[in-house]
Amino acid sequence: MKLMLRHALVVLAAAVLTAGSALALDNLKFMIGANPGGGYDQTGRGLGKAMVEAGAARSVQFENKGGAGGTIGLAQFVNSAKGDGNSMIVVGAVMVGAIVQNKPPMTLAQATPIARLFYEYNVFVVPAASPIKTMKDVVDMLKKDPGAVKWGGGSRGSVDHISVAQIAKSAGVDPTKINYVPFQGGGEASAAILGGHVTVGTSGWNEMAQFVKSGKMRAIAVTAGTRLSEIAVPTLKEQGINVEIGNWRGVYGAPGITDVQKKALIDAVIAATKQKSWNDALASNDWFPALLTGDDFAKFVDADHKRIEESMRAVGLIK
Amino acid sequence: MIDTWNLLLGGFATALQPMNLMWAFIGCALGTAIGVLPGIGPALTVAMLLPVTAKVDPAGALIMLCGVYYGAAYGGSTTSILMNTPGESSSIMTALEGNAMAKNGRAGPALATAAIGSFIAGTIGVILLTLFAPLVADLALKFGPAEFFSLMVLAFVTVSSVLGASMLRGMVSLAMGLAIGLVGMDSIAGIPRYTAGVPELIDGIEFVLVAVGLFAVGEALYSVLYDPKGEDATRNKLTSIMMTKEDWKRSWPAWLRGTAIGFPFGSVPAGGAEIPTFLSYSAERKLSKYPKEFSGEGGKGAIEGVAGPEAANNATAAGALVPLLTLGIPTSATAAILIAAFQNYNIQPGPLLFQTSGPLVWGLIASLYVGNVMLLVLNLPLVGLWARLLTIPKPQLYAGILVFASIGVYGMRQSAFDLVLMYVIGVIGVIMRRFDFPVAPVIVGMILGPMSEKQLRNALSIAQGDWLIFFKQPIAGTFMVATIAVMFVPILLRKRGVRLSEDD
Amino acid sequence: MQKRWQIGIAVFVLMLATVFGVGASQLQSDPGYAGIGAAFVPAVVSIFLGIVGALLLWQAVTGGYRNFTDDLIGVATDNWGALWVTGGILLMAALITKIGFVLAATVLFTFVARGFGSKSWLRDAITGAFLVFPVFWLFTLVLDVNLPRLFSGWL
Repeated sequence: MKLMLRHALVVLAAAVLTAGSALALDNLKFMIGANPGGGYDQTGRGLGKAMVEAGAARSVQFENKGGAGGTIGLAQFVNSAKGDGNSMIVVGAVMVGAIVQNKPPMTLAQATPIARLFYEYNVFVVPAASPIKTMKDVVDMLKKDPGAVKWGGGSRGSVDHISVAQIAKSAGVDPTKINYVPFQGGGEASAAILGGHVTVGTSGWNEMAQFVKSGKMRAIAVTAGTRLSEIAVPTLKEQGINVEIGNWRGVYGAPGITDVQKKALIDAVIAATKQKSWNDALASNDWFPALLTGDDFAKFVDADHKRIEESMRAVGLIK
Repeated sequence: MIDTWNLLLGGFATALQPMNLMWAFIGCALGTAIGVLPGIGPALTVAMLLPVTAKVDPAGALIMLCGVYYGAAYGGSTTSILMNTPGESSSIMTALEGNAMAKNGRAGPALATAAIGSFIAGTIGVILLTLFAPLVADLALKFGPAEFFSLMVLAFVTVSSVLGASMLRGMVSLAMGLAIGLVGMDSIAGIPRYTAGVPELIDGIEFVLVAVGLFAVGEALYSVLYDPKGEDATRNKLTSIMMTKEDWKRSWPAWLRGTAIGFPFGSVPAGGAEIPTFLSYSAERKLSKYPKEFSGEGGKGAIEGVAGPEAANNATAAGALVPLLTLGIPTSATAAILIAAFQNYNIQPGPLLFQTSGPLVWGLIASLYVGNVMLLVLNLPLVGLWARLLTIPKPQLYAGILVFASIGVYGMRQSAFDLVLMYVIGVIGVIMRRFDFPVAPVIVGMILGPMSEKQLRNALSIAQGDWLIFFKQPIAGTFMVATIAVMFVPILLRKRGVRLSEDD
Repeated sequence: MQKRWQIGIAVFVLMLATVFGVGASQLQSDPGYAGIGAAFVPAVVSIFLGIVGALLLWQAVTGGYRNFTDDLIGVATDNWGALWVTGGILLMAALITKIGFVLAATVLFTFVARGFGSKSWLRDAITGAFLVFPVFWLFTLVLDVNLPRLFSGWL
């Protein structure tokens, strides 16, 4: 809902500074390129909270700006935070995918890489009443009539979208023929799945877990490479579909910040990842930690950008 | 039923603890305050209060945040009525009749019917929430893109009721609103439209900016240009503070109809609070025995045009809690933040909520009853005070209105450019007023346009390009039939010699 | 004068229709299973604008807008007052980051009151400041919206 996106949401953590850390960042600002409540939002808020607890930041403030895979928030961030060593943006595979496909005026190349935080895996779900039991059932339907399988998920170019295209390709179905229905925000997507308006839905495991656990939805596959002990759902590979895709998230700093400012942010993030509250957040959201900072992270993002670009081209999402 | 009753009683035991009562009061008072200010909404406030509440126990914190949520829906009407400055999209309809009433010395009854209507709608809403939440939630899930789109088509057609003296000029306004709504990133294909490469436009044009510019700034400029000495001296005259017997008689049915429209639509995902207020306003206008009093007909403002939409607005707020609590699905920005608030306490709203955190949820529901009473007690005495604000001399009154408008607009993005844009839109507003183009359809178009486009495209994608989908599915089809009825019944009646209203 | 304005507005609407129509024709997106892409609704809106614009033009040249009586004939226009209001808003926009939120809003209040004929600018300035302060505190202290301040703090 566009209106919702337009509501900029700002949060202040009026935090009590624990120790007199001289390097503490003053009033750190987080840009979150998604509506409140979703994975991006939880990442930013969780990290911000942990940074305050670690004494790495005096207070944190969040701004939500959802839409178009996070590129709307990114554009605003690149424009308004230039040279500001006290601001960060939550990024991830979803945003990279959106950049590859939409070619927005602002890209991650204009911002400063700070750290990758964790991986998250997607799950494919159907409403409890659906006759579909496994991914194979879906693939059979897809082979018969690709348009009849309506896939519900996040915006175009997202991990959700790419994973669907890759499944089609691996099943020998023209990936450009998939019927993908993008929803904004997890809420609308889960409502559409619960209501049976789409055939199969896909989203991050942590957004869907509550519906699976309560029996309102049935999980038919996860996108991880190997079976996860935390999630009792078969992987795509186990079901003969050679697709493995993860959704990583991390943070970037503002464009044009100095090396000193960059290092301060990296240190603050590292300090935060050692906090109990952050590790609790990782565990409760089924996020799999994968810390990578600075230049290594930059290389990783470049590689991921190329990988996503290739797979999008291969599946016909871009020319 | 007995179970529900016992659980609710348990909830009241929680809600009526002195500390929790205090949290409810703080929430309600703060909510009313931010509802009064344009540009700053409940979503923003709840989000900002989240960390502050981290040290409070879950029940107290959630009770307070829900108080803010409810209070803001109450307070939103005040600036609409007094200053013709709708701060929330859901109070545009209130501004139409409410401000006309205020200008004719009836600010008191307008504010009172809004406050009492909010109380009644809010309370009925919570009763429905208590009794039927799971049932309503199941029904709400039946709404997919096709259903939403049909609902929006109905809303579009009923918009004709706000078009004013000339159907054509109303349509021009609506078309302009639709055009403005197109600017920005297309959410389905993810490509920018009409942004001319200006990054500021990727986000689209902010609704509050246009509303404040057209309504408040436009009116101030118009007034200073053509009527600086205050020829419309009625503005400063208060004929009554309290609602008359007649007012009560006309408000009652409007409150109930507003509630009936608002609650169900609040509970459907992606519904939003605007459409119910549009529908309620149109319904009141069509059903009123006094159509000549509506501001669109040049009248002095019809009280049912305030009572209905305000009740609908608050019933929507209650309805939105249904999917929030039972499914964990947010239907508005504020609801999304409330979910984040729950998660702060490791409570996951959704199917398991009533089992895992029963006492807390029932305490929260009970606090909604308490909050409604509190808001009424808080707001009714303020009516007289608010209404007296209008007796302020014109120079200071308009100066105050513009200061509030600027604060709201500036507070959104901290952009001085937005203030200039607000002025430019204000000038357009003056031209529109001068040549009798209604301004409300611009906002309606801006809101409905993007929402309906998204639903239309997703619905067609699901139906694989079959346009008949909107007639084939029962709920969607019902809305379409209703739409056709709304469009053609008046024409048929006119053919048979019954005249409802005149246009060109 | 009246007629020229009416025609002007109609022409403006038609120009808008053209701009949006041209823009729509340049939008490219895969319609997919929906059968309609990103350009469909913009095209509909521009056609809608074109139709209402044309009708408006027709009304303007054939005797003026319908159901419209100019009730402002003979009403004097107070351009000076409007200039004060305009100046107040633009001055606030120009000064807000320089002299802080409270003072800028006070300037706006004083100018607008002057535009509407108030003569006691000192009283207006004080009234304005008293009106702005509580709002400023609510925004900055309770809600922590960042507003520009003067003297790095209390104003």
